Amino acid sequence: MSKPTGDQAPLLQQPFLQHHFHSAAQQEASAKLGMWLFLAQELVFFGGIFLAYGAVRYFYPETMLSAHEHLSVPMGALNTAVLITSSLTMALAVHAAQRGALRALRRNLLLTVALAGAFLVVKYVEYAHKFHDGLLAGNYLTAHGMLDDDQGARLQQAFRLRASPEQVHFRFDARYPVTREALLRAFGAHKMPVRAITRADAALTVSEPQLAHARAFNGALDDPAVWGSQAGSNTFAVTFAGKPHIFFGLYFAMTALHGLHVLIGMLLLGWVWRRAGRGDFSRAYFTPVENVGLYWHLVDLIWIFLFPLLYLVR
Amino acid sequence: MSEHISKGAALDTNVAATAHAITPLRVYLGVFAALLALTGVTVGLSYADIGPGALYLALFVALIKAGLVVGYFMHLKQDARFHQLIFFRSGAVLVFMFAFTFIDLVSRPAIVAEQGTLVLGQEREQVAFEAELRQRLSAAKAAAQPTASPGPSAAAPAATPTSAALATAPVSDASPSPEAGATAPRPGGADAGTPAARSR
Repeated sequence: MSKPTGDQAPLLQQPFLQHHFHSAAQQEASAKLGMWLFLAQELVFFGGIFLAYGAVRYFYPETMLSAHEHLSVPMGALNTAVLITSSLTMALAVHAAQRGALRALRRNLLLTVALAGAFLVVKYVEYAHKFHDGLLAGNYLTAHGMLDDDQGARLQQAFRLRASPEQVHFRFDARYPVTREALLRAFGAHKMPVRAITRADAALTVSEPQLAHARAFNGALDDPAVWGSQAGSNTFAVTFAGKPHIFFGLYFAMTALHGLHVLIGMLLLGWVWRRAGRGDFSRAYFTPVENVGLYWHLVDLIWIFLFPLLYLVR
Repeated sequence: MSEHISKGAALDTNVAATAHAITPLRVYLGVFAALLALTGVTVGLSYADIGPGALYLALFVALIKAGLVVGYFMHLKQDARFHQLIFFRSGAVLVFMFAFTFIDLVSRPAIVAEQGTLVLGQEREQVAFEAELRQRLSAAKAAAQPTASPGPSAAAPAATPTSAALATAPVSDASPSPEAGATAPRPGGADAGTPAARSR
């Protein structure tokens, strides 16, 4: 072997070699083995949630097709490009470490952190939009952002009752005339298919079992006071077609889990950047750079699958 | 004993020798360009209407991209065989996980048909059932008044009292559904026209 590896350097010049390892090469092999085992675990970890996605998509293909329209393809594509570029800068960082170019190493690590931050900023903009429109997971999906401007201005409350979780109740200013047809049009215009709309105000007189049900959960929305005040108000119960709340549940679970990995990646990159500045790394030893790089590429890898599955469903 | 040591040493040198071979810069740039181009291809394909094969095509492109990232950015192509084994065995676990889950999911409708219970495909069958009901209802209406034009209830047929009650009362749900009363519009309520269909 012509390259100077840790093995050939005298022991005193290997301050990075921990005492419980036989040699620098063994230390590196152990670290890498551990990293690959961790990555293998990550694959299966994310695989579970991809499997959930597959099952939901199998049972509710229409839901996937209609609900994904609310995701912005340009934003997703931009984030894909950002992550791929960050993977390149990470690879260049490792490349620099291999050549012992410490300044290039630090510069590329910094670039990678910056791109990771850019990814999270785009993600924040997307999330903010979803929150604003009420396109959220499970019981939190109200989709009130799909109402037209007039309806939105007069909307007083959009909520779900746990007793009828399939329906979203929209309560409008009592003086404002809202019709079922106008609501249907508004949701239709925003590609939010509706299965049923009923006026809920007249029907929301509470029966004894319903009251018992509401008391059992005792959530704020199930407060009998809320139920009682429905009478005479301008309330509609909307049942959306398909399972948009499950799509957005998957969307947030998958992207937030991935986003958490990005955040952890940024911390790890910062840690490696600091160690590089401290002079911990040399051509003979840069295993942490390599391992953080492996982690970062896996984050990119997962996004490569998330992007077409969530944003580009056809 | 000595055999073990020599094996360990072999692993050491193997890892050190393979992992430190420096990938030329142009390889990284080439992989980067390919990844961007393939992203463009996926986005472009999603706008083209190519039917149900689109999902598999998108996944195929994603697999190529994944291969490029793993092979070149993560250096797995020139890494130790043992690392390759670990990574691809994880992939194999995923394949089995998906295969067996989908064998179950796909075969469920047959089981459901045999046992007469609805498990997960419930929603779909319910929708089909409702559609049939709606059709019968409108047929009966048409027979009763042959000159009448389709009213607002035909524009929003899903909101007829029958189907609204159905939508909130799952066929196989054993528990009493407390919301049924809350959703069905009362006769004489704001939904003009539809309660008449029920009383007839």
